[in-house]
Amino acid sequence: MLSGLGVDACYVASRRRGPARVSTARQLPVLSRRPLGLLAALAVAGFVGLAVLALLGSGAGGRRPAILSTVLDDAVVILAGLIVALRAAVVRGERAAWATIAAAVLLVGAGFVAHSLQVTDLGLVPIPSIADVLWLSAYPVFFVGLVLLLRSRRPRLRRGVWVDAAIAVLSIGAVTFAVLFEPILRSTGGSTTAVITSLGYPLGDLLVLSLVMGVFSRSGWRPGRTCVVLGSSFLLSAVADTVHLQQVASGTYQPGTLLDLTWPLMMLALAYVAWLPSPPRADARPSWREVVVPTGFAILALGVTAVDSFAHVGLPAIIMATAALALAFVRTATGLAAVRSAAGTRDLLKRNAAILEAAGDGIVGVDVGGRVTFLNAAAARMTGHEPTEIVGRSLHAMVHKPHEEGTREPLAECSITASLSSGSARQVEGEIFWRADGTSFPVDYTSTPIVEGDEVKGAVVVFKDITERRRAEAALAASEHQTRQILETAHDAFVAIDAGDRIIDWNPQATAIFGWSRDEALGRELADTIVPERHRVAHRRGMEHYLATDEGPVLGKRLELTALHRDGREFPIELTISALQVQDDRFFHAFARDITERKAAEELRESQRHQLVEAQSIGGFGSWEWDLASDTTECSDELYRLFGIEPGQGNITFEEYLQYVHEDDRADVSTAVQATYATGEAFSIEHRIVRPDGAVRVTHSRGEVVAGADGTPLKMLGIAQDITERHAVERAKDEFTSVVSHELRTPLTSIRGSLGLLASGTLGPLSDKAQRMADIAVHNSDRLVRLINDILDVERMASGKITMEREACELKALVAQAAEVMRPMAAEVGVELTVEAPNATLWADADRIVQTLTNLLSNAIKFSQPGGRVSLEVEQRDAEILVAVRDEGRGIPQDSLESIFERFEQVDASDARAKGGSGLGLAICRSIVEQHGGRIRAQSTPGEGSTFSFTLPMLQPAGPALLSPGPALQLPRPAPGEHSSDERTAVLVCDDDEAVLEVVGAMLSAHGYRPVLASSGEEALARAGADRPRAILLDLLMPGLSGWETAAALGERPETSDIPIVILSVLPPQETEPPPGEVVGWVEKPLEEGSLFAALDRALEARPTSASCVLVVEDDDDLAGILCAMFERRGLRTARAATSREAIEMSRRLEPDLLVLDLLLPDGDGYEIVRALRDHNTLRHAPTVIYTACDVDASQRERLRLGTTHFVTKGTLTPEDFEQRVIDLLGSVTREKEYAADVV
Amino acid sequence: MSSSRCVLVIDDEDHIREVAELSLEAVGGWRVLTASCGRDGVAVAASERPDAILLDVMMPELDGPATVGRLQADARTRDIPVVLLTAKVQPADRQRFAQLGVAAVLAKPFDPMALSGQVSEALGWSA
Repeated sequence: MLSGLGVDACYVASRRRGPARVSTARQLPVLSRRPLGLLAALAVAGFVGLAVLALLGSGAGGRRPAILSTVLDDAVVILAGLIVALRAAVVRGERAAWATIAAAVLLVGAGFVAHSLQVTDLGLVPIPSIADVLWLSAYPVFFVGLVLLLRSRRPRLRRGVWVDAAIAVLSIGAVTFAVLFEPILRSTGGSTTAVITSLGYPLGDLLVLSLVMGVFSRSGWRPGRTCVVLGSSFLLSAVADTVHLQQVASGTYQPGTLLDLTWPLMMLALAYVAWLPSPPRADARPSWREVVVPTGFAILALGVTAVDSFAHVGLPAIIMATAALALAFVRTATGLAAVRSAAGTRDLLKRNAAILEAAGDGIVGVDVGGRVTFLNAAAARMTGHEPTEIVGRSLHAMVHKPHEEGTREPLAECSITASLSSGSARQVEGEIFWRADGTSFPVDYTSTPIVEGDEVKGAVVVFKDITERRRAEAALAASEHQTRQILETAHDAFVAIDAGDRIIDWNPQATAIFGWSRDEALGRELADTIVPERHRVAHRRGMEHYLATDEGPVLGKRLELTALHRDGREFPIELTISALQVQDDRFFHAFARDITERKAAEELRESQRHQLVEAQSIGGFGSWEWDLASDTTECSDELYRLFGIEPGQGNITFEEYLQYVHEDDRADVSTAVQATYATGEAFSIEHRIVRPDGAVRVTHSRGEVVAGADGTPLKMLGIAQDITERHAVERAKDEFTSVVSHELRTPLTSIRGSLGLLASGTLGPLSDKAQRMADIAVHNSDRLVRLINDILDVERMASGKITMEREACELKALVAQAAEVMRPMAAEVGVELTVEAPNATLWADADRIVQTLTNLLSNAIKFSQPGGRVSLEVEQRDAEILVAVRDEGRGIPQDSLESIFERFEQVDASDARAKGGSGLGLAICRSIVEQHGGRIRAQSTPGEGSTFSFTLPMLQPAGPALLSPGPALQLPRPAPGEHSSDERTAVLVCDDDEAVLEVVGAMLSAHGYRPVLASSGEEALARAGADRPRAILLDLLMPGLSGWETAAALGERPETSDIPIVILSVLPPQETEPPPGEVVGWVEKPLEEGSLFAALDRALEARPTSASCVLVVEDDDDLAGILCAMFERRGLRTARAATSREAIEMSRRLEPDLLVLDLLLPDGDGYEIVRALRDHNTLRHAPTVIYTACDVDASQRERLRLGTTHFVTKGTLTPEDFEQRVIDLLGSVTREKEYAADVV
Repeated sequence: MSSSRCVLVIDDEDHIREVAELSLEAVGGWRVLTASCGRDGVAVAASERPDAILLDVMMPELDGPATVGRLQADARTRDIPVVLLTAKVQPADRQRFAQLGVAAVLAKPFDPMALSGQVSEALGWSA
């Protein structure tokens, strides 16, 4: 019977979900096992005891075991009742049914106890007894219990089942009546109570049996173990009851026999069934058995009735058999229809099964007790359970494990159980199911109860393995975490907004940049948060436009915008926006960076660049950078402008650069650049460039090399400055200086010349006052000349126009010369001048050194009191000499020691006039000394005196070869017979005193003569013969040949007889004795320079012939007149030319003995004249005095040289000196001519 | 007539002093006193009481303006008119000298033949 319940449950499930490949196997609750085992053991033991007693009793036939047998009977039945009751108590589900059944069994047990008491006490059992009442009342209770059980497992029984049961019962009833009941009823004597009592048992059995038959019918007449056990036991009971009735009726009944065992056995069978797990069953499809079996029953009943009716057939049996037959007909007809429809149903089920099997989700059916009734392939695969092993067992216990750690969820909290008990569906996410192998997997599941009427019949659990989903979710979460991390730590601000402009993401950097915290920002409208008010409309319009058209011109681009900080400040940001669409939602992501600093830097750079461009533009200089590796040059705009090309016309190479350089300057530029490249020393060069339009600009280019760590030149940097205007200004200034010097000097020269002539008395005697005035005028015009010269000197030294004309020179001679110049001045103011100088050779511009010495001595004398001393000392150091000029004057304050070297700086402003200085002397001295590589300084103790000292580098032995570094006389002293190429006038000095030789030699050098030195009369004779001097200065008192003897010897020799001789002697001239030979002069020792040279001049002067002609080329009439007057005073013929054309013409015509040439002439210059005269045979050797207000440098001098050429700057020599210079030159020329004539 | 005129020339430059002296004596016919520095000049002026003083501006120690101050401070010399002789003849210099209360400022270089006339004119002396 119970197996049929399982089949019905299956059927329900299969109708809903698929095939009923399910069993009714059950799992016993663990807790109930121990009491169950105890009760079962007792019951079985009691039954065994009964069986033993029955066998013994049947053997002996006595009544002794009857009491024990009765007690055991009672105990076994009650124990069976308890076992069933335990089932109801312990296992949930079907509890009412099993409780009812347990009650019925216990009623039966109570009947047994009552019957035992009656038998024991009275020996006779009245009819009906209490036991009969209890037993008969148990039948309806049984019936109710079984019906409850049946209903709890399947809500609706098919009608055919009841028909089958009715057929079976009617058939059995007919047979029973026909065979047994009629004789039994006849034996009861017609008592109604007895009849009811007698028939109650078999009828009750049949009633119960009819249910069992129905179950048989539902199982398609293929009963399972449960069904067989129950059916057999109730059938056995019915048979035993009938036998019992018959024995009672016939009086043959003996208690305690085996017959009595049937009833306890039946109860034990019930207890067994209550706990019996049912075996799996095949489906219960309608089949032919449904038709054949009931029909078989009916035919059997009709047959028995028919056979028996020939004897004593009762009416009830005939009626029952006939009714069974009629029902069998109906059942056959409906059964065949059911069989036909079952075929269609089978197809449907097959399809459903296929669907279930194909489902990806696990599908499990459970009964109301939570036991698995079916599972599909996916469920089996996922759980790893074989269907055979899991069906009938508790799903919860087998697979449900809600937590990952494996703890078992209490049954009461199981959602499957909850859905069963509540009747409502449950959906659970994220619980854990176990697999058969002990592993687990995460699931989402739904448990949907199967409800029929108000009753829950079971549930379908559909679950899904969410491992993959979990993994995907985990991966997504990890990815999101990573993304979040990136955004959190990003240097850029990240802001996400939705289509409504609401901020949905905001990283920490966004907080840092915009000032809003994440919590504040989220949910705000972006426009109101970071967009400046004036841009908000545009921002919103842009978003609307994009949302409407999908066109986002700003998307994905790097934008520079102005953003708003929370504090209201605006700042520049760089922004990149991207849009993305997730289904229907749109989002915008933005990365923003605060570029305030970058902007500031850019602006600074731009401003600096602008400033540089401006500066270059204002300064008129361009810069360039030449990368040596790539030979590309990067030039500033201004450089392009300088070159007259449009800026930004591409870079130019060095070769191209050179093309712009004026072709005459190209070699210089190239050389300078190459030298810089080779040596690493910066170059600085002025050169011209030619612009494309032909314009010539003068530039000053400077450049230097940038070398790498290893010294390799990497590039050259430089600037070029347009100095065209400056150059023009400089040239104008030069011209101005030149013109000024000329224009000032020329009239001054006239003034000075006129005054000189007046003052000299040449033009007639003057009164004392007139003489005095003339002297003052001469003195002050000299001073003015000096001042102008000084100013021009300073100017030209400052501009670097004056270069030192260096040569090897003897310091001692320079010092002597300066001392000689200053001696008259010292004598005039009563100052003692002492000079000491060692032998030392300098590499210096002799004139400039003398100028310096003179200047310092002059200052010292000026600032000394009468009777004071001025000394000049020279100290020789390692590689330089130190010249010191000391005075005992008033001294110089300490704070003026430096400034006195500045121009026009004097300690007292009135000193200039008081002392006759220009205020420029020291500035000139410093400039000269520094240009020689020396230093000048002043030291002073106010009240005691001052010392001016300067250093000069000495000539190193490795210097120019023409210098003889010996300590003795450094002046040229060629060996006898050696012809000197020196063009200067040779003068022989003969004195046994080396000191005298030295001083006189120096003086002669200073005056432009070539000294030839002899320290004895004999040597003088030899050298006079060899060197052919123009004059001889002769000492008288000498060892060996005396002066007179030497003079006589010279006079005897033809080649020396005409050489004028000047005696140098400590002795006064002896008026009485006429000097021999050519002695024309006498100078007393100590020698006084003036008188010495006056005597020498006279000696030399005696020679020129009066026919000598001087051509004065001078455009200034006054000056020309004075010059001519001077020369004519000396008895020379003069001619004057005022223009260069005239000069050339007159030169050719007159062939003058001497040319005095002014350089600046109205129609040309002296260069032209010289060029022209150089083509002339004799004129190209003409002695010339270039007499000019201009300064001429070495190269210019070379271009002006004809024969012996002297250069005299106007104003630098007094007219007297100039006159002497010219006369000297003329004399030497005349002698040369005579000499040449002699030789020839 | 004007032979009684006596002028004092104060100048540190000997030659100028000499030329001025000769010029004033020969052309102006005046008696000329000289001093080579301000201090001497003030002393001579106080003792000799000349009719006018020709004063150089640039001198060591006591310069022209300082000498004027000394002369004005002394009752004996206060009323003697002073004529400044100076090479500084820029407008600013002239303005400065005018404030000293001198009779006239004459420029150097002066013309020796015209000097006495210029002085007479400045001082309102009849020829």
